[in-house]
This record gives sequence, C-alpha cells and structure tokens, in this order.
Amino acid sequence: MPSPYSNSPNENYLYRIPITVATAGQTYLAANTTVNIPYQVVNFPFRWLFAVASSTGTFTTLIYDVGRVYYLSPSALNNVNEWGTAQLPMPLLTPYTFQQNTQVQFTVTDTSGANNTIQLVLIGHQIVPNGTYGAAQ
Amino acid sequence: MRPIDWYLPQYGAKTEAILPLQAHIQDGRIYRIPYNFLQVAANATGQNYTTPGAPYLIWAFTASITGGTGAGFQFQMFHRHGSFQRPLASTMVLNANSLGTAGHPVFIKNPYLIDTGEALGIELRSLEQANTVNIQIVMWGANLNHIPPGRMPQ
Repeated sequence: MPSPYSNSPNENYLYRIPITVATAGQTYLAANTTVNIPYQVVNFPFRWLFAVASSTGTFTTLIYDVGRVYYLSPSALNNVNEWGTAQLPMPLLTPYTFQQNTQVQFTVTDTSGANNTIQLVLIGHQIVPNGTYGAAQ
Repeated sequence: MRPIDWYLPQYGAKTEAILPLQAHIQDGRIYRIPYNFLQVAANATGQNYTTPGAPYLIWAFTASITGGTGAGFQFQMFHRHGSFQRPLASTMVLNANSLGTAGHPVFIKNPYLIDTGEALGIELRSLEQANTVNIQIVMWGANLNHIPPGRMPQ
C-alpha cells in the first residue's frame, strides 16, 4: 500500500548504519593506528542525511564508495570537521545515496595517541519500493 | 551556464538566472575539500589554494585546530579566476566568527559557486603566542558534474 505521506514511487524510512571502529580483536582503535572498515549496503539504496559519531579521542576518516569509485573527500577529515553528535548532528545538505549491493570503506586513523573507542553512525533513509518493508539486513 | 559573468562583473552580465539554483545542492554529489595547515608555528602565516576541477557549490564551512591554547587563528578567503582574485572578506576574520564544526557548521545562506578551473584559497595567521598548531578547514559542497541529465541549470 503506498505511503500516504509520499507521492514518490519509493518509500523512504529512517535507517541508521552504525560503524564500530576497532582494531582486530579489540573493542577500540589502538593508539595512532589506522583501520579500514568495510560496510556492505545490501538490499536497498541508502540516502545518507546526517553524520554522527562518538569517540573517546580524536580521529580522522576517509570515506570511499567502492561501487562508484568515489572518495567523498580528497583526503581524510578530522572528526571535529565531519561528525556531529545526536544532539548536534552534521546535516548533509547534499545527501549522498549509496547504491544497493555496494561496499563503502571507512579508513579511520586515531590521532589522539591513546586507545580510542569510536562509533560512527550514518543516519538517513532506506529507499525501498512502495509496499516493501525491507528485508532484514 | 556561465556563472563567472556574475561573479566577476567585469565580464558583463549580472543575472542570477545563470547561477545554479539552490536546489542543485541536492542534485550534485557531496564532496568535502579540506585545507590542511600542518605545524603552523606561533604567529606564523600559511596559505593554501585548491582548484576543485569541476563546478563546485559550497554550502558550509567547518574547521578544527589542535595543539594550541585556544587562541585560534584569523583567515581570509580568495576566489581566484585566472588573474582575477576576489577577497571574500574585507580583512582577516577570526576563526570563531566565521568557521564552525560538524556539530555547529556555518552554513552559507546563498551557496557559493567555484566554477571549473577556478580556485578558492585560504590565507591564515595563527594567533598562538608560543604553540605550534595543526589547522584543518573544510569546505562542504556539491560537485555539480554529477547532476542528472535534464536537471542542469540552463
């Protein structure tokens, strides 16, 4: 049944993608190290609207859309410049849509000099055809 | 689309009709351009120019500074087209008055276009009296090369 709130052929609903950033075997990113965190967008496109993160120290991130061969910046951004908080999220006035069945790669580097517990959260919309509730991912 | 006519009036036309619509920031593809000033000594200056390489519509600025006492820095921006250069402030501005963070970004009320081949430069001076700092200023914007066919500004 088409959504009464949209005349779009698609139905967009709130979706959040949390990315836990950790060194292998740990719950934190080890001091002064870099990890590559892949995330697979599965069944439906995801439109990224807000950038939110929590951490126990500073870090940098570089985001790469593998499917489109597209870096979202030419080099890494400091966390203060990219990620807001739940209370003060960074809105993407230019939303970015990750296509379905594509991989996104997050390259995260600790710059705090101490073990860093980091969670990135991409808040946005899952884009599904009307009448589809979306498969479990 | 010849936005340069509007941005540098010596070229002639001054009509907003040739500018991309504000709505096009949603049609472009997001791109963030960082300006990195590393190991800026106390009271030292630095400059950094970037050419986006495609029509680029800026809609926000953020900045970070690490290693200092919080004195911050002052900066000036320049929009460069060939031998022409437009300053985007009458003089240097304090970072606290013109740059935000991801939590409190400074959105530009009217998005600002840097056309293909043009450059946006930043010159700054650290206000730290004794400490060396690392400064990163980030332009948030839309790469207009990726607007779907049929929706490009005419």
